[in-house]
Amino acid sequence: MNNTCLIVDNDPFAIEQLRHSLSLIDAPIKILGEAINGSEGIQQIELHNPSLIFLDIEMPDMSGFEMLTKLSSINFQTIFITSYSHYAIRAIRFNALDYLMKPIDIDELRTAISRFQRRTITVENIENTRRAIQNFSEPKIENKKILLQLQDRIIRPALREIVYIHGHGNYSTFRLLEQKDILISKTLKYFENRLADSGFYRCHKSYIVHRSHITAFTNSSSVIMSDNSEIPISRRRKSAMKNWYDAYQN
Amino acid sequence: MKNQIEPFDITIVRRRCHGDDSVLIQYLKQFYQLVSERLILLNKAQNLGRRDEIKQLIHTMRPQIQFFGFVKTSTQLEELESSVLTMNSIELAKNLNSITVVLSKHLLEINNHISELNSTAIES
Repeated sequence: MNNTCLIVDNDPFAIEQLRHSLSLIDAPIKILGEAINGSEGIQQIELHNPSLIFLDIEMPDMSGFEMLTKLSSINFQTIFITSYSHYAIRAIRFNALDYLMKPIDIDELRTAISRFQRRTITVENIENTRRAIQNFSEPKIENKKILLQLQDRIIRPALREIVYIHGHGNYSTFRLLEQKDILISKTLKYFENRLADSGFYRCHKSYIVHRSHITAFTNSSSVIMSDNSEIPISRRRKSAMKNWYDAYQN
Repeated sequence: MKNQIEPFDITIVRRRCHGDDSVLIQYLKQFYQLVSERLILLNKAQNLGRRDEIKQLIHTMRPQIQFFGFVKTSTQLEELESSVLTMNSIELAKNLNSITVVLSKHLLEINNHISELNSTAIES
């Protein structure tokens, strides 16, 4: 594999720290160059064709996501760099992409680099990046889509279509609108992390519910969903769940 | 509490440089240069009432401040960043003045360390 990278960041300290950290961990990656804004980043990517980009999310001329939309093709992996912990992180985490918080922690960098080395560019990587770009520019979280790999195909339901998710061992069943059930071979924990801050709540060891579909709280520690299903709430999560729901209502 | 400016602990940055003094001095010089420049820009943005720019500058400064182990200053910057667009002008001026005093004190300390390291550098 051609292990080369570019650093696109408007902060000289961030560039310096990343360069130094890469040398400290002996990363087998050649740094081809640096760009201090999005426009320069586009030029350098087209010139050098690197296999990895360290990309700052917040730059004065354009965001890292905007920069990616301006490229004719994305045939590299991206590790986003940010000091924000809000919506940008949500878009990244939601799409299972890599990111590092500033100032960069050397162990986190080491992990991100080994993930990069293990991974090859696949249609799924590119699709995840494209989805992140789309999600980032999509202001309404409910309209965002999640990519679900079934045995024979991939489906992309919008978050608003998910009523709840039922976990059973290594599998999760998505209850979608119109009472459609979709079985996915991933744990509930996996989706709990993917959907954090996206309007979903793990109310029970076997259930994650979507707040837009909660129609009522019963007196017996459960919620009624829009498809009339009754989903249990574990005793220890009851009060936290009420707070989460009330915060949303306000 | 705001008057108690946390002292600079050089061992934090030295550890992050894995004991390499040439890298350490590079980081110290970069801190001095960038924070000095950004303080001037902060002052200009304040005079022009450009709150977006103030927010952006504070945001950019934070990782470096954190890296240098200035935990209290980093928290102060974070709080200011989150309220800079909404606080009233008197409060904003007071907060900016306070952060300028803190950062200037940090600069002074860093500069002393640069001089000290330069005077004890082993020539090759």
